[in-house]
Amino acid sequence: MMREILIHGTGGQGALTAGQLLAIASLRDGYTVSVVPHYTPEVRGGEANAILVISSDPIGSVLPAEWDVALLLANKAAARHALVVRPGGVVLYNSSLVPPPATRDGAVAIGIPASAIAEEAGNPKAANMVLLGALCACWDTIAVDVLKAALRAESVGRWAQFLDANLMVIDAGADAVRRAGGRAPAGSAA
Amino acid sequence: MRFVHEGDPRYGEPELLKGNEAICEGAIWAGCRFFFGYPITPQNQIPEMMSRRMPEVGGTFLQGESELASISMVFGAAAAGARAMTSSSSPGISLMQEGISYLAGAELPCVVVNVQRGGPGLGNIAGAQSDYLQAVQSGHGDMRIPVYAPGSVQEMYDLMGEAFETADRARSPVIVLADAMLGQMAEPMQRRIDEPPPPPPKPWALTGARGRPRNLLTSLYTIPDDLEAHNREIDARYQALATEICRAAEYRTEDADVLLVAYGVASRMCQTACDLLRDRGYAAGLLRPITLRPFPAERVVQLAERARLVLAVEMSMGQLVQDVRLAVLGRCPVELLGRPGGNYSTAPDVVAQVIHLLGG
Repeated sequence: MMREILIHGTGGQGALTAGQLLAIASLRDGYTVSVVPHYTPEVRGGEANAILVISSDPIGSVLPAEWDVALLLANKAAARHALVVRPGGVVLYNSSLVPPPATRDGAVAIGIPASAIAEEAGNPKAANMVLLGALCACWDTIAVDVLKAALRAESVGRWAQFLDANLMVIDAGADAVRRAGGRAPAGSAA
Repeated sequence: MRFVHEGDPRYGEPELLKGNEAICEGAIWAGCRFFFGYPITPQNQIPEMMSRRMPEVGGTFLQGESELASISMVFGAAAAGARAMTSSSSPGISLMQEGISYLAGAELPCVVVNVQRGGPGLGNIAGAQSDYLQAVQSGHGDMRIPVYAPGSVQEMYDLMGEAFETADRARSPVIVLADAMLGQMAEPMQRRIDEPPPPPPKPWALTGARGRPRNLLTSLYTIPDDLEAHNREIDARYQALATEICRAAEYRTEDADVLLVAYGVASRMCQTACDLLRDRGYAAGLLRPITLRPFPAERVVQLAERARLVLAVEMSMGQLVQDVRLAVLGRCPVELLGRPGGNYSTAPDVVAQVIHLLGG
């Protein structure tokens, strides 16, 4: 089993935090994992992306050429990244900020109003957690409960105060993708 | 096996760490208690973490006023017999070249970590492998300095212990040559839960000469015969260790007639490329030098002898390929796939280049 994932956002949206949490959840679930942060050079408003490989076998390339999953928090380069999702893969986009992106044949795009859901929950910065909750509810790799257990374990010290709010929006994201009829993406051939 | 040290009782449970953090933990396990450095991206997690960890383990963290000051502080701590290190990134390493040479000349062990970025000049902060030739000939003068090239976060940790041991045995600076990608990326890492081997005695160290003749540590030898003898002694120590410390890892080389040679993060893409090439009927294998000095030339030759193509894949304009060509000495063609400037070749890029070169 191998999953190649891009989490795309702009600085401050928590794409890297989401990547870190998903990686920790993967490790807790018995997989090996790599997370590569990727930034563009703009001082403000540039891309901040997390590139993950989750695998049951040792990982070779940590920089995949295509994705099984793209989580698009921001519209910055969403259209470009959506087209790098391979057939059988899924694009989960923050429909509060990102218009429906075109995908390759065989890939699906599911809009989740992540920013609106986060704001409604009183946790406006948590769009990243909404999309993670949505992902874990619609694929066969890391379950929502595993994600939440990882979040609990990591929410120590100054992060503890955000735990309940983050758990709530993870569930909200999971509900949203179920309502949207999101299905588990098939894995990559490679 | 998902993790390199799975089932090895000397190692703890895997935890998610960045490569730069793994460098720190590896150094601390190895008994490094002196860190001197000056900030530069993309290695800043190392001094940041060391500023917290060194006081925790009874060590000293000091941010020098410059790279020159930092490497000179390493000289001081090493002269006193301590395990000491510094880290920097490409332009900062250039500033340290003089100090590294002085350490080599004074026969002082230390570890210098270079988390490479794009160059020349200020370049950029993306991962690159453009300091290969600088690393294998660090500093002016006539000496060989061992260079380790980690290929994963786990190896960033593991090789720090080896680097300190080699430094003490060779009485030489040792370079750990990483890059921005390895430094910034996170992977599971298992830390050692046993004790490191004790460092060798250092009767040459400046510890106060009460009750013994004084020690002199210098790189200044004004008489050519004296300096020649000194250089030969340094070289003899390196040569005596070279075979033992020389290391390479291999992937699917058992029957390979297409040989990829790559180190560091570029080797990771090549590992996947080997799988993709084998899916398409090409018997591809990877040789990954773990020591760049000493270079695993003998193994390159053995594998190249049955290869119809040898391809060096690097994140530079053709530096590693020079050592591969020197090893092969014309026995077979050695091609280059190099991307400079902080760019890299993906696994499909490597596959396409192999098929192109083989006329497929």
